[in-house]
Amino acid sequence: MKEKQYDLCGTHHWAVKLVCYLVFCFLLTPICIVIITSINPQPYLSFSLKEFSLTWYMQFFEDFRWRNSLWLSFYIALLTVCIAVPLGTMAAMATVRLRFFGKGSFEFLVLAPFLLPGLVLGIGLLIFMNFLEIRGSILSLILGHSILTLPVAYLSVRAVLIGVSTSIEEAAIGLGAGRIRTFFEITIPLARPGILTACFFVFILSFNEFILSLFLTTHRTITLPIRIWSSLQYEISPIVSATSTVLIIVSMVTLTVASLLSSIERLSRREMVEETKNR
Amino acid sequence: MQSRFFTLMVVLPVAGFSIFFFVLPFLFVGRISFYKSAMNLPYLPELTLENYVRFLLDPFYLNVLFTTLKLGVMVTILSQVAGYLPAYLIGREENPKKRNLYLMLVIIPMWTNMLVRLYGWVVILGKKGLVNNTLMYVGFLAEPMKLIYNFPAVVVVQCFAVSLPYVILTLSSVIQGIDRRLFEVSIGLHGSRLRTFIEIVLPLSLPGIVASSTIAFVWAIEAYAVPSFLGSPSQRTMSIEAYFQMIDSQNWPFACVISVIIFVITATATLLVQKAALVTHR
Repeated sequence: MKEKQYDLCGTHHWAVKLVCYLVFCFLLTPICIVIITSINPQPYLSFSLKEFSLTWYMQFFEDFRWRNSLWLSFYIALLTVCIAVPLGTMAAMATVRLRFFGKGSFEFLVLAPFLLPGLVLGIGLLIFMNFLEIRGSILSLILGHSILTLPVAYLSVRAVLIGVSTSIEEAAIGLGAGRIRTFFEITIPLARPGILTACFFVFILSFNEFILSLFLTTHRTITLPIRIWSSLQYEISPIVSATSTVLIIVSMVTLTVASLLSSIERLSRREMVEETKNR
Repeated sequence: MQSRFFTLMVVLPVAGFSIFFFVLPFLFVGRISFYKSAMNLPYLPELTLENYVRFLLDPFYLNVLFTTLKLGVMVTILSQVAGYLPAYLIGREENPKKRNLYLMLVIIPMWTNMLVRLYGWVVILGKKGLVNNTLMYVGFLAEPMKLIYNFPAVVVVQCFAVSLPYVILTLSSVIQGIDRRLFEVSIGLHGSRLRTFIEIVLPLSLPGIVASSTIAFVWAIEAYAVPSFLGSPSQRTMSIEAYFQMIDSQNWPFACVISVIIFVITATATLLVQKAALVTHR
């Protein structure tokens, strides 16, 4: 006979569950509402469930301004990954494997953009980019996004690198491979789950970035979040709903692929270890 | 095993990039905050305290600062009140699959664009939005309620759309770390789950409360999108004012003054919290 387990923590209490599910609703309803309004052909910012239509998506993809913003955000995110992930990997390598003077300060420096206000960074980068005379360029956006996402890339790679044992690296060096060669041919492949996770997280963070882009963009370089923002302020049209749903889908897909890849990697590594054990 | 060349090759690019694109911009902001404002130029490179004086002595700007701090405190409190129980539910959930499902519900909003969440809340609370439409349809209201463009709306949306996912995530992992046997012993001694909660769980989860509150506060202080869109035009926050001064007024020194003040508040809050945590852990 299966006894009903005593509710030790009080989490099965109806009041606790009610509050929690209410909060979860509050967290998820806005997203669901956005998706619903995007397939609703009513032309104003309202909510009514009468008909279904994909007109707003067609308007979104046919409007060259929205297409340009979509492409620009994608391009910037891609290049941000190319800068932030290698730098983050190097930083993780430094703090996990090496000893050097000023290591604590180095780690603080890498993590600082995460801890300190983005607004100050936005204003500072605007002034700095103006000083470097690349203000308003795509490059300034890429650099700004890179410094903002560097901490995330660093933390992702570091989490995996900590678990990688050094014995394989030591064996390689003992066999005569140089430090650099060991790094590229052994350490990086072993840290691949972390590096891949970093790529996806940096991509999605850059794609969604708003406050920093607000300061760094001009009328020539309008990223997707910025265009959504000005659309909300001036010409509120449910195209925003369609755009937002596209963003939701991009985030979901990225999140799913990232988590699948990291668990597949973990699974395949476990299988590799099992095989070598059995041999 | 350690080669100095390799160490340098790995550390220098990252440190250089960080110093160049993070530390230097901060230093620029600090320096320009002491410069003079000018009519046709962003600034005049003469050292002066006039912008700091202008901010600290003008009741309008002091009100902006006060509104921002008020927003920060209320969002922090609301985030803790709304987020603690869900974090508790997730943290004490024994079944990992169920726990992952709950975590997904929290992580999904975190990875969607903040503007999308903001837009969703506008559709819910707007004049022709979900709440008003439903209440009017049911006959409860004759004309729509004004639920947005005021301070409470900013607090609620800033909490639920921006800080709550992170608060729940942090708190739940701290609560998860509380040993189950402590619950068993406490129930055996006190016989009451409520008393266990007050005397065991709350004190042990205090580091989590502190950490998540700090982030909620900092993010609320520097928030731009939510206060700007959902707030009433007469209640501006520091970020809105900073953006206005920087981009619209082209008054760089004054904008930098605002940034420096925000930075000082954030740094002070973070340091105070760290010091307090060290003291109480003795």
